[in-house]
Amino acid sequence: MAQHLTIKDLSLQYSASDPKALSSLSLEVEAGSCCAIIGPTGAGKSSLLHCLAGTMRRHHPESVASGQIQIGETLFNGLPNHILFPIAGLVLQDPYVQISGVRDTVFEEVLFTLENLGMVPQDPRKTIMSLLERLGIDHLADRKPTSLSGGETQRVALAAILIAQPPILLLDEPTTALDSNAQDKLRLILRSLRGRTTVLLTDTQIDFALSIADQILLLDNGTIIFRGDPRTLLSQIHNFSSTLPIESWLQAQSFLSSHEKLSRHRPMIAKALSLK
Amino acid sequence: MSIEFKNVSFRYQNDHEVLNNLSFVAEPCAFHLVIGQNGVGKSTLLKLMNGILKPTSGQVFVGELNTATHPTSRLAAEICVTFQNPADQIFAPSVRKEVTFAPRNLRRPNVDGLVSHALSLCSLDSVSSHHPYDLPAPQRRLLTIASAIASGSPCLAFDEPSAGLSQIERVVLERLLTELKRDRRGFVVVSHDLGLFLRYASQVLVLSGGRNIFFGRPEELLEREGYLRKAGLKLPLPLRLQRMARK
Repeated sequence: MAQHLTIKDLSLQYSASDPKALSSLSLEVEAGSCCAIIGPTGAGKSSLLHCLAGTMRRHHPESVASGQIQIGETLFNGLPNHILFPIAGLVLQDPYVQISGVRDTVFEEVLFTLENLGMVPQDPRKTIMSLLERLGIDHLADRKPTSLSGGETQRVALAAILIAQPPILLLDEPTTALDSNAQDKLRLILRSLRGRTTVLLTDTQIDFALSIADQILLLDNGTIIFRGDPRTLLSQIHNFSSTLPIESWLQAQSFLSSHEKLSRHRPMIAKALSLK
Repeated sequence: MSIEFKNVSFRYQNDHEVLNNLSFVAEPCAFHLVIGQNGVGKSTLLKLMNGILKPTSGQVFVGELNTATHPTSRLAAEICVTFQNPADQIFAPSVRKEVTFAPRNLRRPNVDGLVSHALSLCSLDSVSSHHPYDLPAPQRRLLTIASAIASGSPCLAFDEPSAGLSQIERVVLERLLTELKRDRRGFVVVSHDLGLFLRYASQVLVLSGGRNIFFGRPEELLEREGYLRKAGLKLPLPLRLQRMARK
C-alpha cells in the first residue's frame, strides 16, 4: 500500500564542517502521488533521496542531520539508521553501481532482488518477464548484465528495484541514458503505479519530470525555491533560466506567441510534451 | 583527417552481432551526430574508431591508419574518445593529473598550455587539485571531456556528453563546443539529446538494426520523421510545435 511521506525541517551536512547540503526542508508527498525534484548540480536532489532511502547514514556515518522524516506511521528523528528497502526502493544515479554483477543473466539479476528479500513468487519467470517486457528489455533476459549498453543497463537497474514493488519508489535521474521510446515505457509504468506507489524522482532535465509529476520541487543550494504542479511551474518558468535547461521551452513559448492561431492553443505545449 | 568505415561488422565474443556491414565516411573537421535506440551499437561504433575494438569483418580507417594494424596509442593521437560511464576511464588521483595524462603520453608540445586551456574550457580550473571522485557526477563527465580536449587530437568523440548534466554544465558544454568548432576540431558525438546537438551537427548518422539507415544533413533528417522514430527519438520541442502548427 502506498505510504504518505512527510519531511519536516530536514537539514543535512555531510560532516560537521561542511556547508548544509539540505537546509530546513519541509515537504509533504501524498500517498500514491509522484513528486519530481529538479534543480542544478549540487542542489541536494540525490542527497534528499539518500536520506529517505536510509542510505545516507550508512554511507556517510559522519553526516549531521536534524528534522524529521515520516513514512506512513513510522517516524524518524533525523535520518533512518538503516536501509529501508523494500519499504523505500532507491534506483541509483549510476546503474553500473546498482547492478550486482554476481549473476550471469539479466533475468537472474532481477530474481536476485526477490531472493534477497525472501519474496520469490511461485512463478518468478512470469512476474519478471512481464516487468522486463514493460521496460522493453525482455529480449535481453538471457544477456549478461555487464555486457549491456548504458540505456539497457539503466533499465535493468530499474527492474531490479521495481520487482520488489516498494511502496516508496526513489528514482535518481532514471532517464539519463534512455532513448525516447524507453522514456515512454517508464512513463507508462510510473503512471500505472499512481495510487499504489509514492514516487520521488530527480531529473536534471525537466521534460520527463513535467510529464509525470503531480508535484514539482525545484531545489537550489539545498533549499526549495519552487514547489507546485507542472502547469504552475511552466507559467513561471522564465524565472528559472539560470537553474533549469529551459531554452527549448522559451523557444517554444516565443514561437507560440508569434503565431496567433497557435496562441489560442497553448495546451499544445502540454500535448507536445504529453503532459498529463 | 577522415574516418572511414568499410563494410564493418562487429560481434562481441559469444554474443549477438551489433553492427552489420556498416559503411560511411566521416569528413575531417565536421560535426557528426550519431543517434539510435538504446543498445543499437552507438558506443561500440566509437570504440571501433579508436581501436579499442577491432571489426569482426571489414575495416576502419582513421585517416590513412587501419585500426586493425595500429595500436590505440597511435590512434589516440588522431581521435580521442570519451566513455559513456566516466568511471570507466578516470584513474588519476587529481583532476589536473587526469587531464595531463593524454598530452604527456602523446608527447605533445606545450603540455601545460593544453591542460590549462582544457581545464578552463570545461570550467574545472577551480577544482584542478581535487580528486576526481570528490567531484559531482556532472563535473566528472566534463573532466572526461577536458581530458579529450587536452589530448590535442584533431578529432574528438564523445559518448553521451550531456547525460546527467544540469543547466550549469550544459552551458559550459555548449560554450566549449562552439569554441572547438571554431578551432576546426572534428567531432563524433553519440547522444539522444537532439535539442542540444542538432544545431551543431553537420551530419547525422542514424543506426538501426546494426546498419546506418540514414547519413546526411540534419535538415534532411528532420524532413523524414520515420528515421527519427526508428532511432527511438522525438523531435525537440520547438520543432515539434512547428510541425503541429503546420498540420
